[in-house]
Amino acid sequence: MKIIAFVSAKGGTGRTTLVANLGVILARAGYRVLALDCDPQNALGTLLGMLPGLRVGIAEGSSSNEIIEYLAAQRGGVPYIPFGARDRDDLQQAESTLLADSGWLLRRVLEIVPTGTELVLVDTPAGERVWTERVLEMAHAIVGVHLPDAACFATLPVIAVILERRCRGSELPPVVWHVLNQMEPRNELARDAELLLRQHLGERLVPCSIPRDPVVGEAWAQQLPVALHSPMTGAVAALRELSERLLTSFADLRRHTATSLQPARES
Amino acid sequence: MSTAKLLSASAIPFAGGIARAVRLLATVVAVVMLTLVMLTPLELREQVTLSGMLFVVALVIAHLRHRASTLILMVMAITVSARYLAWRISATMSIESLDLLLSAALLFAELYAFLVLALGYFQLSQPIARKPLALPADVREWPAVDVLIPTYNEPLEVVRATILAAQALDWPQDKLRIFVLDDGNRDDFQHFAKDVGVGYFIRHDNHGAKAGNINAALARTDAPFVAVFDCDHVPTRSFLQLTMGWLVEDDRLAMVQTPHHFYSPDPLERNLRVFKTCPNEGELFYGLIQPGNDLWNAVFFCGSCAVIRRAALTDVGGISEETVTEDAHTALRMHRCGWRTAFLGVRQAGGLATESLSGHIRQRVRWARGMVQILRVDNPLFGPGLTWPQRLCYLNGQLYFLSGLPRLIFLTAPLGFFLFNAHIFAAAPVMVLSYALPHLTFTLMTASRIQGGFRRSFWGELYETVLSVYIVLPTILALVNPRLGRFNVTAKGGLIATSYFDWRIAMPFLVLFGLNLAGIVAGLWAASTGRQQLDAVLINVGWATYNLIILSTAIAAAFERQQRRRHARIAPRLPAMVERSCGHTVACELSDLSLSGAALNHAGDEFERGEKLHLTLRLGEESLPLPARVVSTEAGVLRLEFVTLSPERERFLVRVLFCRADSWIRWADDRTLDQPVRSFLDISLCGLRGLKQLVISSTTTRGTHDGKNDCP
Ligand SMILES: Nc1ncnc2c1ncn2[C@@H]1O[C@H](COP(=O)(O)OP(=O)(O)OP(=O)(O)O)[C@@H](O)[C@H]1O
Ligand SMILES: [Mg+2]
Repeated sequence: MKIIAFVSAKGGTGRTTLVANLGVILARAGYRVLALDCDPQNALGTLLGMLPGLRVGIAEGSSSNEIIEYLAAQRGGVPYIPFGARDRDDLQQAESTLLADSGWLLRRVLEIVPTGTELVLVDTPAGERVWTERVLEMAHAIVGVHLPDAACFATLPVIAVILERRCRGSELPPVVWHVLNQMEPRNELARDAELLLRQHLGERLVPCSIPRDPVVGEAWAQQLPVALHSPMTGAVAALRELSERLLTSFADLRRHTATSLQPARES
Repeated sequence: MSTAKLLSASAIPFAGGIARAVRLLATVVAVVMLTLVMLTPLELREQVTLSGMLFVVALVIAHLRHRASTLILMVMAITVSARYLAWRISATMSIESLDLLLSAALLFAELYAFLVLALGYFQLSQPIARKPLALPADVREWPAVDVLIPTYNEPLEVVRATILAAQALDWPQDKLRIFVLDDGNRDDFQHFAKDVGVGYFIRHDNHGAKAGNINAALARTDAPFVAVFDCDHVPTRSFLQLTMGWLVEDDRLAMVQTPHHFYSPDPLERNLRVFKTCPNEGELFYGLIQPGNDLWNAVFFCGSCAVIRRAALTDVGGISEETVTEDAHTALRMHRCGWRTAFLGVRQAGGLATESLSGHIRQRVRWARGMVQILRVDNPLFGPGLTWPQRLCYLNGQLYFLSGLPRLIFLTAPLGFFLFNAHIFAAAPVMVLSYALPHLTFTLMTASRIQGGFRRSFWGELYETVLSVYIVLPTILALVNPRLGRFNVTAKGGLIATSYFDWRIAMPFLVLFGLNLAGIVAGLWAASTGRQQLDAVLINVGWATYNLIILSTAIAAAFERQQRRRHARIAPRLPAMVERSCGHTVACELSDLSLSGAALNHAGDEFERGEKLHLTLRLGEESLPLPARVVSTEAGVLRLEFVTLSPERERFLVRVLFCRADSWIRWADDRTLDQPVRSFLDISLCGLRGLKQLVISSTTTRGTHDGKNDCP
C-alpha cells in the first residue's frame, strides 16, 4: 500500500479536486485506489458521494467492520473514507489524540483501509495543521498543489519547510512532486509564474500543468468529479498525464498498460 | 582512421605478412576461377543446368540474413551477368549491317549498364551506419558555427521557418550565428532578418550563383565551421549536436553530410499516390549510396544539410563555381587535398520537395549536367590525390547521369525487330533466354537484396525512364562542351491549383508508348501470318510489354494532382488542448499540423465554424496557446486556421513542427523490405491507372465538345 498526500500552503488550490479525480482515473485504469479525507472540512465527500446520516470516518471511532460496510454501500467510482468528526468536540478530541500520539494516524489507517488496496490518496487541510503533519509523516509520495499566481511564491517557503521537516532524518524520504493547477496558458502572469516555479522546482514540477476549466466547478455543482462528468476535457487529459507521472514513483506497483489510462470512448 | 574505427567490429581477423599472402593467393585463385566461369561457352542444356544450380544456391544464400551473403550474391550476380555479356559479344553479334548497327547500339547500352552495375556493387559492398559521436563534455570546447542560408527567388513564407529553426539549434548562443544570403536582394527578407535578429547579406552581382553566394558569405564570416541549409530545409534542433562530434574529434574531417529529407511528396510520389508507402528517389541515395561511399571516404557534399570545416573550404578555394553541381565538385576537390568526409544517416532537417514533375525533371537535369561537367573538367579517374575506391565511387555517381541514352536504347530496342525485322541477337531465341534470364534474375535479386527498404524493384527503371529523354541532350552537350549552361534554381513551395495532365512533359513517353504498342501489334500480326518465328516474336513482345508498363507509369506521373495547401502539412501525433472562448478545455490529438493551421481528433464538444479559440501545444515543458479559428468540424475532426501569430508564437510553432530531434527519425520506420513481385504489380497498377486516366480525360474533353455540337 502506497500513500500519496496532497498538500498546499494556501486554501483553494485544488487538492480535493485532484484527490477525487485522480482517484477516478486510477480506479478506471484498474488500480485498487482509496480516497481518504484528512481535512476536517469533509469536502471530498461532496465529490465522491458521502452517505448521509452515517457517522463514519477516520476521525470517528468507527471500527474497521463499519468502514468496510460503509465502503461496500458506496456506488461511486472510487471507494472513499470521510473525515467524520462533524462537531467541534469530536474534532478537538481527535486532534488532541493526534498531538499526543504520533503513531495513531498510521495505525488507524492500517486498521481501516481494506487489505489489497494499492494506493491511498489523501486530502489534507491547507497550511500547517497537525493533520497535515501526520499525513506527511506516513506518506510515500507528496504532491504539492500550487496556483499560478504571485502568492504561490510567497507560500513556496512554507511548503519547503513542511517538506524539509518531513524528509529530515527519514531513511526512506518520500517522493515529492509539485503540480500547477488552474493554469491559464493565455495569461502572461500565469505563464511567468509557471516559468519561475519551474526554475525553483526543476523536474519536480510536473510538465502537465492542469488548465483552469469552468467545467471543473460545473461538475462539482452536480457532485461529480470532472473525470466522470466530462472525461474528454483538456483538464482531465492533464490529470491523466499527472496520474501516469505519479505512478512512476512506485517501481514495485503492479503495472497497467498505458492505454488503460485512456478514457473509455463512448461511441 | 575514422573508417577503421567504424569497422572495428568487422575488422579483418588476421593481419601480418603471411595472412596477406594467403589472402592475395585466395583472391587470385578466385578471380581465375570466376573468369573461367564467366568465359566458358556452354550448350543450351548445360547453360540451363548451370544457371538453375546457381539460382538455387543464390536462393539459399539470399535466405541467410547475413552481410556476407549479400557480398556472395554480388559476386554471383556479377559472374552471371559477365557470362551473359561474354556470350553476347562472342556469339550473338550479327554481321549484316543494319543488324550490326542496332546490335552494337544495344551492346553499348548493356556494357554501360554492366559497368554501372559492377561499380554499384563495389560502392555498396559495405554501407556504413555511422552513429553520432558525443561532443566534449565541456561546452566551452564546442567550436563556433556560422549557419548560412542561401536564397535567390523563394518566397519569404518558405524561408521563415528555416531561419527561425536555425535560431533554435541547440548550440551555445554565443557560438552560433545565422546568416541569410539573399541573392534576390529583397526588402521583406531584410526586414524579417532584422526583426528576428539574424545576419543578412546581399551582393551586387550574383556571380557564381549559389556557390558564389556562399563564397561571398564565407569572406564576410569567420567561424571555423559553416553549416549550409538550402532555404527550404528546416533543421531540427539537434542537427549540430549530432553532426559536430565527428568534426571535433577528427581534424582532417572536412564535412559531415546528413540526408535531405522531404516531408512533402515529390511529384512522382504525389501523382502516383505512393507518398510514404514507397521509398522515393532520394532514399536510395541517402539510405544506401552515401553510407556506401562512407566506407571508401567518398561521401560527397549535397549542397545542404551539411557542416563543413572552413579550413577545408579555404584549402580548395571555397565552393567550386565551375560546374552547376558545385557541391559534389567541392567535395571532390577536398578529397583530392586529402580531406575526409563523412555521412550521418540521421534525418536532421526537413524540406519541401519540388512541386511539379517538370520542376523535378529540371532539377535533375541540372544535377546530370553538373555531374557530367565534373567528368569533363575534373575527371575523378585522373588527377592527383584520390584513392582508387574514391575514383570509382565518384565515377559511378557521374556515370549514373549518363543513363539517358542507354535507357532510350532499351526502350526502343524491340522496335528494331518489329519494324525493321532486324535480328539484334544472332542466336536462337531459347539460347538468348538461357543467357539473358539468369542475368536479369540475378541482377534483380541482388538489387532487391542490397536496396532492401530504400528502393522498390523496378522503381529505379521508372525514375531513369522519366529522366532519360530529358537528360540525353544536356549530358551529351556537357560532355562535348562542359562550359555550357547556367545554374537554375529549383522552384519550391508552389501550388498546383488544379489537377491537369502535363502533355508537354508526357509527350516523349506517349510517343515511345505508341511505338512499342505499334511494334507489338506489328509483331503479333507478322507471327500470325507466319512471316516471323513465334518464339522470337514472343521474346520481343515480352520486352516491349515491359517497356509499356514502365512508360505508362511515366505517363501516369505526368498527371499533376492538385496540391492546394500553401504549407505542406506534417502529422506529429502529439497531445494538444483546445481552449474555447467560454474557458472550456478540450483534450485533442494533433493529426495534422502546419504553419497555417491544424487538424485535431477529439471526442468532445460541438464546435461552430468560425469560432475563435486557442490551441495549446506542448513542447517538452513549454506550452503556448496559439489563437485560431475553426474552419470545419466533421465527425470528431476539428480543422483550425491560425490567426496572425506573434513572432514568439510562430517560432514556437516552427519548433513544434520541425525542430524536435525526432521530427523525421521515425518517418520510414514502418517500411517493409522490397518484394520484387509485389513491387512489379504495384508499378503495373500505377501504369494502368495512368492509362485509364488518359482515356477518361481524352474522352471527356471530346464528350463536352460533342455535346456542344448536338445543341440545336
Ligand atoms: N482546474 C480547475 N479549473 C477550474 N476550477 C478549478 C480547478 N481546480 C479546482 N477548481 C475549483 O477551485 C476551487 C477549489 O478547489 P478545491 O476545493 O479542490 O481546492 P482545495 O485545495 O481542496 O481547497 P480547500 O483549501 O478549500 O480545501 C473549487 O471551486 C474548484 O471547483
Ligand atoms: Mg479541499
